Amino acid sequence: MDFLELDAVTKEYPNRSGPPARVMDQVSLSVRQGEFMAVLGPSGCGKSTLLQMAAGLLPVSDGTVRIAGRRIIAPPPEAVYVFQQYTRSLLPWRNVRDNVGFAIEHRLGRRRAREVAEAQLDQVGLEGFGDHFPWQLSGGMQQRVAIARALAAEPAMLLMDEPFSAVDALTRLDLQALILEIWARRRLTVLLVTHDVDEAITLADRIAVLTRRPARMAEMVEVGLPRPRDAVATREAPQFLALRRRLLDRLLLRHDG
Amino acid sequence: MRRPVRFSSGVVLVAGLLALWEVSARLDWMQTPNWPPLSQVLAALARDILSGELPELAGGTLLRMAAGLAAGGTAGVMVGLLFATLPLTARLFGPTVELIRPIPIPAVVPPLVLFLGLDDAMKVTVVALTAFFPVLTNTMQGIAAVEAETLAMGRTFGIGPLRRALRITLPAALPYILAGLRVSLALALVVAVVAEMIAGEQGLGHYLVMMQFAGRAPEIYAAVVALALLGYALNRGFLALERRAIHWWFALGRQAEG
Ligand SMILES: Nc1ncnc2c1ncn2[C@@H]1O[C@H](COP(=O)(O)OP(=O)(O)O)[C@@H](O)[C@H]1O
Ligand SMILES: [Mg+2]
Repeated sequence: MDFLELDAVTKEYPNRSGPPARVMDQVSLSVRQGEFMAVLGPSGCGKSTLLQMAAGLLPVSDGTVRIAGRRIIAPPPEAVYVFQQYTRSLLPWRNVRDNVGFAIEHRLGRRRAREVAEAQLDQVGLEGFGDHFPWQLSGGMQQRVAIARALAAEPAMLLMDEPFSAVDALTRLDLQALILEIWARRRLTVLLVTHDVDEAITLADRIAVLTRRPARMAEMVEVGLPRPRDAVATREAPQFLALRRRLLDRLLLRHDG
Repeated sequence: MRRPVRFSSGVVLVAGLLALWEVSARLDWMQTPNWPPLSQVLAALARDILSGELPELAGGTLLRMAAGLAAGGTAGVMVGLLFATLPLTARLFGPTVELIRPIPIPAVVPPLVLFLGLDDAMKVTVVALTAFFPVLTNTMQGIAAVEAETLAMGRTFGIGPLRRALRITLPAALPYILAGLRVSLALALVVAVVAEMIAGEQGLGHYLVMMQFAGRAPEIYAAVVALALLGYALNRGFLALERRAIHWWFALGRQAEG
C-alpha cells in the first residue's frame, strides 16, 4: 500500500524580476508503507523543497501530496520532519529531556512528556543526558536528540533532510546504523533526502534520483541488497559497488538519462 | 565567585577624581559656596539616609519607575509580538508608532499633567512611554531573528499558534527583549526623576529642586550621588538577572546587543 504519494508535484518560487522560478517539475513518486526510500540529487536541485512539500510545511504550486490517502495541506500527525540543521531545530534554552518532550507535551502534558522523553533518549543511546543542554553535546549526539524527539511523536513516517550531512564521517556511519535499527524495529516508513550516494544505497529499498534544477524524476532505482544491512559491511558487496558506479555516473552526467 | 580586589586603573581614576573633589573644595579653587567638599556631601547623604527621608523619597521614585517599566515593557513585548505575527497590524499602526517615538518624553509631561494630574498616574505613564519603544524595537528584531527551521520544527509537531508564540518565539527573542529592557531601565530612571522635577511634590527629583531653591549644596550633591549609586546598582542587578535568565545565550558565545 502506498503511504506517501506525490502526484505531478510542481513548485515555483515567486521571482521579483521576471516569471516565477520553477524548481520542481511534475515529480511523481510513491513510498510504500514500511519502505525506506532515499531521494538522491545534486545540491540545489530541490530535494529539501520536495521533502518540505511532502511534510506539509510548504505548499505545492501544482499537483497533490497524499499521506495515508489524505491530501496534505498542513503538517499531518503521521509524518515528522527531521531537519538538517540540528543546531537550529533544537531549542537551546531547553535541556535535552525537554527538547524531546517538546514533541508531545502539548498533547500529553509536561510530566508525561518527560517520561516519554527519557525512554526515547535511552533508545538512541543518550541515557543519562537528559539534564544536558543541546549545546553541551557533540553534533552527532545533538542529531540523536532530534531523532529521539521525532520518535517521541510516534510518527508512522520520518521525513529526513540530509540528517547526517553536518557530522563527521565516523559519526555518520554510527547514525546510519542507528536509523537502520530504528526503522526495522519500529516498522517506520522513511523518506530520506541525501546527496551521498553511499548513504542512499546503504539505507534505502529504492532510490529516487532527481535531475538538476528544475528537478524531475530521472530514475527510480531498486537497490535489492539483502537485509539486515550493515553500515560498514554492506558497502563491500559487489552489488553495492556496481550500483554506486551507476549512480555516480548519472549524477556526474557521464551518461545520458 | 569571589576575586581578590584588584585596583585596576579605572578604579584608581575614580578614587583620584573623588580626592580631587575633596581637595578642590577644601582649598576653594572654584571660589563658590556651591562646591562643597565630598566629605560634607557624604555627611549630608548619611544624615538624610539615617533620618529616613532619602530612603522614602528614593523608594517612591523607584516604585514609580518600576511600575512604568513593567507596564511599558509588557506593552512593548505584546505589541512587538502582535506586529510580528500579524503584519497587517504593523502596517496599520507602524507609522503612528514612528511618529510618537521621536517626541522628547519630557515634552509630554505638561499635556499629561492636564489629564492625569501631578502624581503617580502621570509619572508612571511617562516612564511607561519611555520604556515602551526600546522594548518594542528589540522584540521585533528578536522575532525576526528566529530561525525558520525552529518555527518549522514546531509546525511538524503540530504546535498551535499560541504555543508557538509562548514556547518558541518569545524564548528565542528573549535575549533581544532583555537588551531592550536594559536600555529602557536606564532611561526610566532618568525620566522618572525628570518628571518629578517638572511636576508634583514627589521623589528624589522634587527633593533636588527643593534643595536647589533652598541653596543647600551638600544635599543637592547627596541626592545626585544617591541617584548615581541607584543607577549603577540597578544596571548591575539587571545584568545578573539577565545572566541567569538567558544563560544559554551566553553559553552559545553570543552577546545581546543594544
Ligand atoms: N524560498 C525560496 N525562494 C526562492 N528560491 C528558493 C527558495 N528556497 C529554495 N529555493 C531554490 O530552489 C532550489 C532548490 O532548493 P533546495 O530544495 O533547498 O535544494 P536542495 O535541498 O536539493 O539542495 C535552489 O535552487 C534554491 O535556490
Ligand atoms: Mg537541502
